[in-house]
Amino acid sequence: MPSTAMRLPARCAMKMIKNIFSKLYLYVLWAMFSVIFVGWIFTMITDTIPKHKVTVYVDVLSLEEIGLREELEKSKPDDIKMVKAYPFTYATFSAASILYGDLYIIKESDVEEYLSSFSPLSEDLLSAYTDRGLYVSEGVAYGIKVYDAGTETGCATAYINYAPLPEEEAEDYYLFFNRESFHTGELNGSEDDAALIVADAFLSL
Amino acid sequence: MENKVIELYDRQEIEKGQLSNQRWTVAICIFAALCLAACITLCCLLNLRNEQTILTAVMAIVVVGGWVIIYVLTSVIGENKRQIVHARNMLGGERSEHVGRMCIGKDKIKISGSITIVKVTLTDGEKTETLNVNASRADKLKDVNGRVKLYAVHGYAVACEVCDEND
Repeated sequence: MPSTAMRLPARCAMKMIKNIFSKLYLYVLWAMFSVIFVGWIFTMITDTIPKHKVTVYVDVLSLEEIGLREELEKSKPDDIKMVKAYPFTYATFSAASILYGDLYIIKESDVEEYLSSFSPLSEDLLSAYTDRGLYVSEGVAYGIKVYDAGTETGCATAYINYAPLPEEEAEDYYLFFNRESFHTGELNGSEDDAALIVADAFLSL
Repeated sequence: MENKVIELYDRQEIEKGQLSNQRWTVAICIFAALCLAACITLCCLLNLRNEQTILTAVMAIVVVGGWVIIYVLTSVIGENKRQIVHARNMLGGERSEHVGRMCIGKDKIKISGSITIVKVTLTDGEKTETLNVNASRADKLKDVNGRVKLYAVHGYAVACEVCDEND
């Protein structure tokens, strides 16, 4: 049958390269399909639906996601499979994904842009965290201060770099709860209060 | 004295080709299973810290493993299959005879979806004929000199009889 074995390795290599280039589209298509398919499978394995996870979006440029997740997952209730932490840049290609967050850590100057999505704080939260400082708009408290620019102290500073860009001024950061979250309990009548538990863990970091 | 006949095709080679294809098929099945097992094992080792590393490793295994399989399927098994089909056609076809001084071309021509050929020119006085030779068999004819009788099926040389090496 065909003598595919060539005499010289160089000729063999040339033949192989020619064969590959003659079907290059197959190799390119396979690479594209693989990246999409493996990415999809990985998302299935490493992610879950919003009902089974608590997602924290942090409006900073530098976030040590894994460390923060590890810390927050220590306190998660059993019925929550995972806690996810993302910088806002994660939502660059899918602005809608940010709507499914449960907790948001946002700098003061950006709050008004998102305020309509946040839930007002309950009496319990107010009494527990008033001394930290609150974000109040039109007499309603929405956020709990997590970083004070004046003293440069805040929560989870080992994982979140609250420092501003060189041309910007340092700002306070606040923690907010999504009005549509599945996990904010009494804040919006949702089934569980996992986001409140995770928020409490975050505030103690 | 009987002239020497060089047969370019025989049934044994077809059987060898089929056996080779079966072996390659088994080999790529085992290879694919190993790739899959490696991916599953890596996924079992998944944790928060190594998520990106494992994703990269699994992607590399799937992409490169797929490329190897594509190469074997298209270039090895595919080529073997094309050769087998062609050889069967040659062995089953009706032979015609062509006589002349043989000159084998150097350029290989790939026929889309089929084999690669080289052109053979037979010159007999004023008369010139052009036939095709399976490029993978052309080596069998490289030492042939002088006047020859080529047996052809559908324009493809299948055997060569040396009429007079000193001519």
